[in-house]
Amino acid sequence: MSNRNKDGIVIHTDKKDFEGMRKAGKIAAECLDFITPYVKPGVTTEYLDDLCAQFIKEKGVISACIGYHGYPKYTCISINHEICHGIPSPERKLLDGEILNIDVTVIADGWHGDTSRMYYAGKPSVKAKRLCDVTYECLMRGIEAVKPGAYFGDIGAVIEEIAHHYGYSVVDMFCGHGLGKVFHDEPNVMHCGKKGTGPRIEEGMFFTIEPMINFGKKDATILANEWTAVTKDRSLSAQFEHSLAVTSNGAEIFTLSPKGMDKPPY
Amino acid sequence: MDYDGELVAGTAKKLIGNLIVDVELNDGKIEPAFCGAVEVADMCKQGMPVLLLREADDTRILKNKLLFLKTSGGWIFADPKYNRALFKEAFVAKKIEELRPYKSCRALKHSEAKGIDFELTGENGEKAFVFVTSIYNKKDGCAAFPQKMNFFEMKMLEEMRHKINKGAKVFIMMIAPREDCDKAKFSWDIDPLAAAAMYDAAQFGINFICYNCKIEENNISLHQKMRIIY
Repeated sequence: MSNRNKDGIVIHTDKKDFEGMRKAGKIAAECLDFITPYVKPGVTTEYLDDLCAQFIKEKGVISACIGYHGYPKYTCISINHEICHGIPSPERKLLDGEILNIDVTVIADGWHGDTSRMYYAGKPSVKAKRLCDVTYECLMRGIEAVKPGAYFGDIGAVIEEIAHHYGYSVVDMFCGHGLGKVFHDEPNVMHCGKKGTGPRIEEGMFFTIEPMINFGKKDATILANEWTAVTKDRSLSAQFEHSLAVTSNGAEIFTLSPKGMDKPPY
Repeated sequence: MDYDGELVAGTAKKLIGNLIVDVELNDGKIEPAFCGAVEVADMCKQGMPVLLLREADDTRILKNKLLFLKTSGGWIFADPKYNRALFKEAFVAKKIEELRPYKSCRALKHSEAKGIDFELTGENGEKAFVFVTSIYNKKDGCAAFPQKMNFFEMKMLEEMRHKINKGAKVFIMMIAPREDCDKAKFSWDIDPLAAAAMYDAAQFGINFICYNCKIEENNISLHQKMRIIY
């Protein structure tokens, strides 16, 4: 059983909801585990997308991305200065040293599992690796701020603090989101903000945290394909994402890698 | 309550921003540590001994979490996330004198009671409600309260008044996660607005309980009741 609170956020109380999300989250994470060895210089992003699509199909679930508001592919693959929603392409071959984010969302029995990780094609530069490490840190510390009674602003405050500490900026044009039976639902989970602000976090909420951290300025712009967001100054950008539930004493992450491959190098 | 891993000793060097502290470890290496409680990070001064909890994942860029800070008086536990667990453990062990008449304890969701943490039920069905919070400040040798309050906590005090009107007892359980104080003091200076709200709440019948903690190598627990000085 679930109902919406005064902020319009769904509160899940049924164990079956959690089981549904665990299953969807696990498959999404497995998909990212599966694709890992294929990410190398010379392969096209469409090839990676095809492999993910095949994996998703074999698992008997469907991709939430394809067809979503007209999105043409099964995954989003964003390279280097692309912040998010990069469209896999047969022309775009990975080059040695590039960093990329693969974002997968599957629907299993109606439940959405949404996750993304960074990958290295070949050997990344020190600055690219550091950006990925800091972005992962932002995600995990943001998740640590999740507990009943805390505020959504607490998550953003922690992420912003860590990103700024290392000299990076936080993209404020995109945010995390509630999910469950719906792909994008309330609340908007901002990755910057002030402690003690925003709606209260309650046990039973499902949402994603997916900080996008830029090496340069936070400003983003959308390409002519109307999907892909890139940094305005063309600086590198990184993102990690987990889907999670608020439990009585913290958070349960649905999309942890079964193989422990949550962060590169893998 | 046991800690999640082994603690590493060091000395605070510098607070950077609000939540990150540079710490010199005993082997001379300087590493950043994450501190989840802004109030504790604020207290962090150069040269203070600290205890860090190492992340299980060694590839993390922020490998340490600041768990304890040693002030002139003693150790302060820096992770407010464990408040509820500390309270629950102490309630079950019947350590909290004022709450011994109550037999069961249920954690409340925010939507049920606007931020009140627990509902207690006595043998005859009588109800009590508890809000658990940490107090970090120290003044004149006493743990000083109230801490700063935000809008939602103010609303929660209103909810507590409703509960009192309905005949329930209401408690604000303050945990001073430190060993160096055995008294708590009401202070108008930390946040006058919060102090005024708490003063009104006390007049209305909300009860305050304050406990300090026993800090050991492997665990932390509620220790002694602190006398409250108004």
